[in-house]
Amino acid sequence: MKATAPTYKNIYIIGIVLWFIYAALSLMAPLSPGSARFHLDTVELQVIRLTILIPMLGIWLLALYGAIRFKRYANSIQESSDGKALGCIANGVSWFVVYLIFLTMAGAILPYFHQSEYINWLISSRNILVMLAALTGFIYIFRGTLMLGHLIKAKTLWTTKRVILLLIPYCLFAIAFTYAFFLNPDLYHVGESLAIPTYVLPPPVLLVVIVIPYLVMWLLGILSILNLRNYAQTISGIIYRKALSRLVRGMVGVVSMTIALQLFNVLMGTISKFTLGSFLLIIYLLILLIAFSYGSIASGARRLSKIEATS
Amino acid sequence: MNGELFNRIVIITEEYLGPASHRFVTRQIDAHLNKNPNEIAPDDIPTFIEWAKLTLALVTEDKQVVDDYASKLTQLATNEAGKR
Repeated sequence: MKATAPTYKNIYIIGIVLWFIYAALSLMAPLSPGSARFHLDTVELQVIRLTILIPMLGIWLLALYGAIRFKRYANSIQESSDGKALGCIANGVSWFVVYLIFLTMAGAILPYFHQSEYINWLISSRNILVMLAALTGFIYIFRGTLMLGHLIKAKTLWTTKRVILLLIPYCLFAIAFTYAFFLNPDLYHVGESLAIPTYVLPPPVLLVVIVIPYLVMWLLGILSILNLRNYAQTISGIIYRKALSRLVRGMVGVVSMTIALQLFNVLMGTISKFTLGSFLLIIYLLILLIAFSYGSIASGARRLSKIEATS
Repeated sequence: MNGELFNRIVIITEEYLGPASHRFVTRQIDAHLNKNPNEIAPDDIPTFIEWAKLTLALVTEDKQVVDDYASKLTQLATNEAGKR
């Protein structure tokens, strides 16, 4: 399906409208017991919300711009084998934008249903839908990087030794992550916390619908990063490689930052002892790195499009 | 025979434009020589080189790379002329 320019313009408009809804929801949200944890009054809380809301608009627009630029470039070469692979990766990057917007919007909606009987249903739906959006993105990107690998005959990248060298530390990380995840006091509904819990499903169900899917998608993300880097270093073409390297740098950043954002989000309950300063520092740092990554994708796609536009 | 010449140009271009080479060469021939890519003849190479240099200069600031590409194409043109 080839998207046209007006369709892309509509996407920006939808992004801005969603941001206004998100901003209104955030600024008018009731003061939750969770925010009381940081001993903030209403004015301080609104100022902090604004310092996240305003850069978030920039991030969303930059993410949309990067994904659209990339998609347009991939569409312009869709008949070629590299075009098909890059198109698949561009779809993955677009799903990451959906994930990013959905994650932030869902976080702003929940406080309104804090006392509602539907809160548990909403939390579970949010968790599963966010996970599915990210998983779809990771699957598309991984598939695209495999297709790129075939173009350079990169079968030798994944030797048995390399697979073992990757899987052993990853399995150790998976065990540590699962352990840290189940340390989250929210999961057992203990204590007097009145904050909105991150998860409400029983731990065995969470293992199947949250922990395992996240571990699978992060592994796909790491494999995608390695495949992409290998492609960018091996592919022929001095000028092409230079333009591609910026795009790859952006994609590596987006995949890494998505993993970091998910780790932060998934372990939020476990790391709730963070001070406000460190909590905000992590959020601002992630926002900055995500913005830089999408900017890099847009810039790389623009350079590659220039090669295709010359005649 | 001429399809072979097109392939040689693409092979040289691959060193600079990688997977975009086939598309690049096809577009150049189509836009500036008004020919089907497989119909390119040795006499067309000098014109092709001029346009390729101009268009590549739009995507890279590295003049050395553009000159290097042009010189390889010139070499190809010389070889093709020698065959006749």
